[in-house]
Amino acid sequence: MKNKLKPLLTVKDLYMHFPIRRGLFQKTVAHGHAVDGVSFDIASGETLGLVGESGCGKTTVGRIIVRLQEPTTGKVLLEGKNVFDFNKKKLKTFKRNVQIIFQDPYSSLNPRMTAGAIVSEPMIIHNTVPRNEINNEVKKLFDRVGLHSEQIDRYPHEFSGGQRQRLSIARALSLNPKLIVADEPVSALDVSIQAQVVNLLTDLQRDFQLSYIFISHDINVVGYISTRIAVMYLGQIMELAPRRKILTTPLHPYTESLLNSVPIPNPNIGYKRIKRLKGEVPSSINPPSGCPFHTRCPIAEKKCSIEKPILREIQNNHFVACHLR
Amino acid sequence: MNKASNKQPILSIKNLRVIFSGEFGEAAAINDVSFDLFPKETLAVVGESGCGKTVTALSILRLIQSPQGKIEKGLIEFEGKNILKFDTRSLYRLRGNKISMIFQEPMTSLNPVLTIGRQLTEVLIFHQNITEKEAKNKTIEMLQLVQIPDPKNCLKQYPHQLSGGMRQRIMIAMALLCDPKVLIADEPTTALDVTIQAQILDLMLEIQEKLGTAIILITHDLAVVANTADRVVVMYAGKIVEEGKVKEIYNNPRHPYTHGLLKSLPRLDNLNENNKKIRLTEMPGIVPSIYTKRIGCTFAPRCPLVTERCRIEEPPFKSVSNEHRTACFEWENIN
Amino acid sequence: MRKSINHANIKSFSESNSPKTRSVFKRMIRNSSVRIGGCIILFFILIAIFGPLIAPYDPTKLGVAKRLLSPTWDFPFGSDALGRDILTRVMFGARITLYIGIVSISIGLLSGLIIGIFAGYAGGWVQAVLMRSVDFLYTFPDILIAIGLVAFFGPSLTNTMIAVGISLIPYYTRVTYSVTLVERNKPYFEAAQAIGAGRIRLILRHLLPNIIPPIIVVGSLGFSAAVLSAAALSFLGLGAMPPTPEWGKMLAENRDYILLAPWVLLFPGLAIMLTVLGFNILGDGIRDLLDPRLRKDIR
Repeated sequence: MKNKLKPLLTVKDLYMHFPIRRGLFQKTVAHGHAVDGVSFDIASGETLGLVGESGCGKTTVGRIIVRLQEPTTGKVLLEGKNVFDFNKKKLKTFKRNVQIIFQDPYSSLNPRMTAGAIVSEPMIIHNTVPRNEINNEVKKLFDRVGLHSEQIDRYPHEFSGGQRQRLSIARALSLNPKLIVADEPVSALDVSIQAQVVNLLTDLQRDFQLSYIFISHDINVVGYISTRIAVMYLGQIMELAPRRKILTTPLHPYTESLLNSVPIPNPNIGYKRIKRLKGEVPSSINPPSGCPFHTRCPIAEKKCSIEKPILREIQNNHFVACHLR
Repeated sequence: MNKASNKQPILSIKNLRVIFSGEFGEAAAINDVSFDLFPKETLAVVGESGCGKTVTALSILRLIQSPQGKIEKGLIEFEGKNILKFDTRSLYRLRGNKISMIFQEPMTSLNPVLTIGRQLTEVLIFHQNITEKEAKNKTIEMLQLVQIPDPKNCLKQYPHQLSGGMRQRIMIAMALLCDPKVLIADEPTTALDVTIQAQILDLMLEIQEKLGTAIILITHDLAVVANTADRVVVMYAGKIVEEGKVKEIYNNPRHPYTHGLLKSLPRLDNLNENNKKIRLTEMPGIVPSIYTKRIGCTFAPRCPLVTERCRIEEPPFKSVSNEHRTACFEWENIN
Repeated sequence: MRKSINHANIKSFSESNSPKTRSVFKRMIRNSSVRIGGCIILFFILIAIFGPLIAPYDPTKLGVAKRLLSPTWDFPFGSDALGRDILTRVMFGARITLYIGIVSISIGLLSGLIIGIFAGYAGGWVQAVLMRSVDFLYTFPDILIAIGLVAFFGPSLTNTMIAVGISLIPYYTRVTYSVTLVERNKPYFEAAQAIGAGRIRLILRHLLPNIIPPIIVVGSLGFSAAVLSAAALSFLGLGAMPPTPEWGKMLAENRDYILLAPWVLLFPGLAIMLTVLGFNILGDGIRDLLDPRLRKDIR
């Protein structure tokens, strides 16, 4: 798990199992394994892409990191200190360092607050900027994210989807965080707007030395923006490697199938119908035994249904969770 | 591999104009839309939100909600007759029978309180004069065709018991039961996971090969278009801006919008060196609302090649080559 | 370049400087339900305020007219069994009715708001206990609760108002609770938590402003329920005490004369009916406005 630099954030053995309750007395009948043993770290200034299909747990991991959700067990270390040990005061400071951007531009902004109020609220809560300078700061932030300062008194419903995402980004940025968890930040936007927002995120990272945890189901976008990519399946990381490596020479059979399924906008390459993954993604409630992927894996062996593979370093900085690699 | 060998179009849309009246007044969702669909081909209609692609698709089967929406002008010719002039009876005989449609959200397109079997056999019994037993057999055949494991058991299940991918297969099965000449697929894979999307697209292509259905594929995903369509129509703000064979459009886009769209896609086949990230080409601005009054080319406010002429005059279609046309004055100056 | 384009974007949206309130008001005027309901209510409020000033007679003075006089020019609504002018009593009654409505709704709404928000926000067992208790209360018809309370504390107008208010609490709690749950789970609320907002700020700044619209609707509809309940209580002899010209009381006092002098019951009854109708229409109108509006905002 070690990067050459000291990691900014470390996630260690994160598990999040939620009980499924039924009946009049809310008896627990099963557990949903949203996150089933996730560990990784992220260095300052890098972008870690979390990619996977529905039920893989990527969003839950992101939410746990910003403490919107509590894990069942596990540690999240910010600069070495476990965030779950933080008292109220330290937690507040923590929020200045780690922020989140949500997927839906239409419901992630309070419809009854002006744009300016939304962006200035974090600064007011944490008292990072004296009252008389807040307006200036807001104008600067608007500028940074490509919004016009005339729009400060507008309400969210007057902005387009892309502009609202810019507002969310400005809000996250207002506290000068070290890490931003971006949960599907461009998935709800039109293609031409996606490019604008992705470019914006790249620029901001360069200017502010931000780290991103970029969560998305869209491999094309993740492939573009990340330094390293983690492929998740049913709550576990199947493969974690630097971007180029994992996209050109994936080692895990799931990653291979995933990449083969992604359509490329190039009609000159013949349409390959090879290595298609059969079947459906199993439910995260009582997941398959052993390796979660064994039910669909083209090369699965007996061992795979019994023992859960550990994420280990196979090549330099390239981690794979598979018995057969 | 020219699937459209027969030069007579099976569906022909001419000068279609659909307006919506609402609180903010009246506006045209699509204006002067014309294109043809040839037998056995896959035609993609691609564009971003608000471009009118779904409105176009709904118009074909006259599914536009009135009184808010109205097909004001135009002609939709199918098998030599104008669909817009059909009486109710003919329309019922058309829908689900000769022209079928599948939608994005399979859960809301399937009736949650009826079994799969019931919903499917209903289609057959309504359109064809066969017994329930015959309908059941045909249904099982179709379910096998769409690769549902254990079709007999599936008939007894309810939609909520199936996964998204399964439900979409059922939708496809339902649409193809009466062997329609045309299948309209409105964002059929957008709500599905990537691996399931690939399965469904494979399926659609396989079935097309077997049954010879012509497909109109509505999508915003340019990659899906590249892999599945023969020809493509690009729409922007209610108008067609470019049309042609997929290979030609992608290799040689002749409209600034198409060009910008293709350039702004992050892609896996274009990995560059990590440290020097090449910026995605941005198209500034946003898609205009249909209520804003427009003169000249609708794309002018965002166009990098805009001239004074573009702001005043609406560009007519120019033939770039055989089967490739574009609505742009500056089409020769792209790239 | 980016700035000018973003500037261009503004033009396609509304141009007024206080955009939300102004366009909401415009839509309100256009909605016919709001117009009709609003007019009725406005009329009713004006009578309540100015009625006693312009009323021709003293509402409690006996024998200003011959008893059970049918409507004439001097006494447009006629007179009741004790010779009091009905028009005057109806006009004075408007003020009382308004008073009842405001007090009961305030008690019911505010309590319901507090309990509902608390239950919706706290979650867990607190929520379960509170809401089950409210459900239990809700099983009693509100009129029964009101009767019980008034019977216990003694009949008087004040007690009636309090009792009606209390009987409305379960309903308002329910409504507030469900709306709170909806808003609480929305991303903007979570975003506020993520930026470090404390409980007070979350409730006052993020929750409350967003649950107010549906509360306004039910408040308006509740007004009519309160008026009816109070009238019913007075009718049963538990509410206003004579000689208070409360409309329900007027119905009670004069019900023996329905065949003899129907106008004695007609006008107070009509007054109740119009008021209730007015609030219902207004409430419906506001609800129609707010729902599609919100949907439009969310797009």
